[in-house]
Amino acid sequence: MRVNAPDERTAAGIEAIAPTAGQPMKPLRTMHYDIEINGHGLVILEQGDVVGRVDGPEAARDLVYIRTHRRAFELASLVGWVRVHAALVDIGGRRVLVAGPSGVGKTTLAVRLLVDGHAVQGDESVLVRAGTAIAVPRPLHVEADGASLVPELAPLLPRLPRVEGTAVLDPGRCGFGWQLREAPLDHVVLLGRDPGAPSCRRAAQTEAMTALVPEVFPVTETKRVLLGELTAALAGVAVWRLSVGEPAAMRAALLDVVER
Amino acid sequence: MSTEHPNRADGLDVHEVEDGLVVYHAATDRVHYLNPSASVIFELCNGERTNEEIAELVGAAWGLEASPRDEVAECLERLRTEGVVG
Repeated sequence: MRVNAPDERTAAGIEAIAPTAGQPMKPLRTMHYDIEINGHGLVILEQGDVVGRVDGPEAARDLVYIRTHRRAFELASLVGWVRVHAALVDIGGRRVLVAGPSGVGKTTLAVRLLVDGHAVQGDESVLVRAGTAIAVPRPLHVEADGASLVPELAPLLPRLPRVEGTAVLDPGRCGFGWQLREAPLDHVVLLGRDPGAPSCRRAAQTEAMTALVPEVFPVTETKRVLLGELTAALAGVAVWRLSVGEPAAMRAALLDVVER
Repeated sequence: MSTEHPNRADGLDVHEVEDGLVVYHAATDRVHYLNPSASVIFELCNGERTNEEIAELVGAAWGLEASPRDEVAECLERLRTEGVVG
């Protein structure tokens, strides 16, 4: 994206949240945003159209952030990608999709794995098409209790930029590296609040479909297309159900099956 | 369609996964997940076989001594209730 901002503070705020992920695909489009001073506030234009009026640089940053992601999802859908609400991590060369309802612990597990040196691709949205998957390069959104769950985050958390009050962790800016790749899935892990200590048990592919279909956000695609792409993405994939618990125990249970 | 000769409903979009079928029924906008047993029974519904014949084929496929008549009838009833078999 290209942003024309009216002052250094607004420009720096947007620059701080622009993802640094390297990725193998050519851009579909370059989005142009102009931010102009309007009375006591700012007006945001996307491709020349006014998309919002806000009262300051932080709100301008948040709006540009939201608009760019929304537009990226629309463009991806138009070229056949189906968006799944999930995290994506490469562990020892094996591609692991972690799915589950909002708030169940996808980001916590992703951050735990990132801190441990695994190649976290994303914590929120994964695009699938023709049996391959690639993460949407959105920085990880870390909740306020992130440091209590992953202690290594404590020194980092206060320094992270925020979007709508939530800290955003760009792996590239934090020294972990962030290189996206398009590849088939090897494992699908379904997070659930099952009783007992974290453990991974094998699950059926129909169970994965049951869990994943509600986690797909259709934009332009029909449900028929969506199901076809999910089915293709699951071909040959091992499905696991991982009960949620202490992050280090979740990591251990996950690595036990992925690295086996 | 006679319920004694069950047939798959029209307009179904069937996707095969490793351990079953995912069936999308556009008319109701519902997705059905069939386990391996239900998938076999569903696939055997062609409008020509009777419930009894389907049960015998399922029994043969699984190497059962007795025809799983009651279990197949129960499964067919559920498939009918869900609208994927008529």
